[in-house]
Amino acid sequence: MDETIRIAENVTLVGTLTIRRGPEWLAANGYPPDAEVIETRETILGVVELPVVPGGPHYSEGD
Amino acid sequence: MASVVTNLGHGLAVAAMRGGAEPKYVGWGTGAGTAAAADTTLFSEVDVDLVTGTGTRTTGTSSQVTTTYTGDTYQVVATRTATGNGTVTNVALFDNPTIGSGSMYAKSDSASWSGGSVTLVAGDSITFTLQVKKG
Repeated sequence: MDETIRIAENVTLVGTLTIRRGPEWLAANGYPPDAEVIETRETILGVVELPVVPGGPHYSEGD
Repeated sequence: MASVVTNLGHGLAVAAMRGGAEPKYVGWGTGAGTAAAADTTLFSEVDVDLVTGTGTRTTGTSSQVTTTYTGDTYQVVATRTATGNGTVTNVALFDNPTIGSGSMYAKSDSASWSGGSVTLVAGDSITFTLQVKKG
């Protein structure tokens, strides 16, 4: 029996930053106070390999 | 430019899968630097006033979502609203809500963000949606 069990082969970290401007920023930049100014920034945070942990839960493609 | 799962983060990932400490607390920093796996702290972590080096991180809402295969992605969503002025240059996930405590799971510096660092004034907010996807 194979006792070596993979937790995961790798993981990808993805992030999205959604910036909403408040009243002070709106006033300083000439927007009406009820304006909604939203900026979105995205990032790939990285792809990493997780360690193989004997005895851990098993995951494989398609799980 | 770098964004990494830290060395400590590998252990936290396994713990989270097993129902242990969950890295759902979001902190931000204002310092400069390139994220590295050996890092254990943010670059100049600060509270929501963007000045004070103590305080509380934001507790995110975690969920299991689907990217490719059912439930293959761990997601944390958290909104931080600035009460002062400053520039956010890096963000991280921790397993503890108190600044200066706990282990850092993943970290990203602003060089890897589209548009770079984020300058905020009081009342501005950032909603962070961070996903850890298998495969």
